[in-house]
Amino acid sequence: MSAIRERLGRASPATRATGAVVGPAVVFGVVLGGIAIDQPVAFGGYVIAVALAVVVLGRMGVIAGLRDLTRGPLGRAVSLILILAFPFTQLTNPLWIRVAGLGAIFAALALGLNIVVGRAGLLDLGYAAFFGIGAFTGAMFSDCARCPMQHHLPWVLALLISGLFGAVFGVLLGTPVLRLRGDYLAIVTLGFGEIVRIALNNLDDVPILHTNLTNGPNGLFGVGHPKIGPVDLGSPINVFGTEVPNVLKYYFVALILMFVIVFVVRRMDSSRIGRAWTAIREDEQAAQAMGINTTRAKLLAFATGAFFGGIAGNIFVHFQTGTSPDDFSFIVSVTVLAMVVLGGMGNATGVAIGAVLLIALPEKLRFVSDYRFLLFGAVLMVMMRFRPEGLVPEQRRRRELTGQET
Amino acid sequence: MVYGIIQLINFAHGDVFTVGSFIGLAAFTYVLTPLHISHPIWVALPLVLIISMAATGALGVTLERVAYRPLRYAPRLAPLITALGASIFLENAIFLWYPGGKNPQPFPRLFPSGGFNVAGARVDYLWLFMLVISIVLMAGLAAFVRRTRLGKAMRATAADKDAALLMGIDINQTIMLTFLIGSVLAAAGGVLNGMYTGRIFFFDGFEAGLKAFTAAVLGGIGNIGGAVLGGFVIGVVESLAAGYIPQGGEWRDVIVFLILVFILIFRPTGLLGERVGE
Repeated sequence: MSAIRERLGRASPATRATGAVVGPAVVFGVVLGGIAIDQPVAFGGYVIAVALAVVVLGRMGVIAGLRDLTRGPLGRAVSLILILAFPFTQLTNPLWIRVAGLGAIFAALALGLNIVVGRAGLLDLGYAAFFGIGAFTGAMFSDCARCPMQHHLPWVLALLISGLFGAVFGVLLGTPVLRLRGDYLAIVTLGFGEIVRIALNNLDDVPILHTNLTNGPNGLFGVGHPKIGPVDLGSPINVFGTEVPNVLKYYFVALILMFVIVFVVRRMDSSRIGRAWTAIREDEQAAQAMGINTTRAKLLAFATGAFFGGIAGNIFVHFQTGTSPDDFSFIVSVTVLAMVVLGGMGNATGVAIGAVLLIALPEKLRFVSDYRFLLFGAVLMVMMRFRPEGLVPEQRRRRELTGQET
Repeated sequence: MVYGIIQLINFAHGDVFTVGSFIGLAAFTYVLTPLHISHPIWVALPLVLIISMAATGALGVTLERVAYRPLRYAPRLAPLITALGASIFLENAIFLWYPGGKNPQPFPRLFPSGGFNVAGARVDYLWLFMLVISIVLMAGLAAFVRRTRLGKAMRATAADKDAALLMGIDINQTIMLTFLIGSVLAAAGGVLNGMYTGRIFFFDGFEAGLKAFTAAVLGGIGNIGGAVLGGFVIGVVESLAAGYIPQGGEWRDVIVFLILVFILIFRPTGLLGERVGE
């Protein structure tokens, strides 16, 4: 522990409170500053400068110190307020409200995958399949004028159905595979992801029944915006005389989902199940010897992840007002995995940050957009090599991945 | 083979195979053709194979050094993720940097067309050549692993890394050698496959890797005969599905996948496998 971090730890209450406000505020300012820079090259320079500053301050212990301070209730409250306030700083810039919404949806998705990869230590390479299943069931059970099959249900019910469909497929896939070693799971889930995409592509003519379920490669479009009671997610809102597009509401919906996931995972973590997951992750054979039903615990992680993946898919399809099977190809699974790995496996804050970075940076760095997937591959390799615990590590996981005794 | 030694699915292996075929193509287009030695084939083909095998072998060794060796004692998840990263990286490197890599590239045949008839079935020279080369390489590999000192070191490393180290085996060198041989063989496979199909694409290796894995699981991991049988079964099932089931063509990958899942449920050791899957 560095000197600066220790000094910050012993500082007076007033200093600590200031730190708790300043920390999140600085991050917020850095993000806003980045968005404000329009020129791609200037933005690239800005990113490099920020990264350097983070590395230097990190070495000095300033960041760790500020993080300690931000952990308290005040720091949390400030962070929450800033997160909620973010879209209102971009009122004149609808693109970034959209990016924020998409970022929040993918952050929720990455948090779902994090249950599987980060908590239980299972490598799922077909996570986009559950996202896709959720999206397509979401479209089918909504107000979708151009969908071939349509059963309009209240949205909350449709959300649950999307999640359950995801979970059911998760269990169907997981039951045979989870008894085997992790590598099989990686390959079979990868295959499953592709199969779901192929199936969605071909279900415009269901074998034997000859009905059209998914419109095939054309996808389902014209999905209506849901209503929850008096709130209509489709209508724009008026803030201080400025008309804000409706995507703003999706940002908040996705945030709520994120908080639900984090809450559920926290609760599970401090229970028997969470301890079983940690044990399996660290040493499966020892866990089994301790009497843990490893298959059941892994299946539960898999199903929970799939459930939230399905729900995120449902929100996504409404957000986009439609979708096509290509939205769920293998590279999407890899992207979500890169978010989890980049941010820090197991850590909710880290995963959310990873997701936002990987959604927002390509938006700004359009001139390298061809290189995006090359960079994702490099991110996976470089992170595992130099910082396997991610940008924002979880303490226990860090010790585990860097081989220190716990 | 790499899988057997380091107990890790090398996702990047399929892409090493693709890189091998592209290097072969590059060697033919940018080295042999300008130097006017693209004919006759007994000059061109060995040269293409050698260049591709050498370059791809170097790539395999680099990959091992950069991506796998530092993680040898890390948890299993870590090398799996790096392997995946390497795979994505190689695919996109071809996609972006090989001239015209965004589209399938024609591959020169490099071999006289024609053939002869045996009992009414047509045997292509190229096909025969591939069969011979494959058998020679496989036999060579088997002999190497069984009979030489280095082969013995490899088997020891596969059985127990730490014990092998205690016995004075340089496991770093052994694993590197494994990667080298694996990559060299993949390059040969890539070039031959390119000649056979006449076109190569940056995504080929990924699909090939997936199918190969399915075949290996179907036949029983770690069983060469099983892998051959598995590959054969998958090929037959795919063709039959495409021919006899309505819309089977579109669904054939799904059918193959379902077979894989059922095998994993009812016979996780594969058709011929004896070792129990952990």
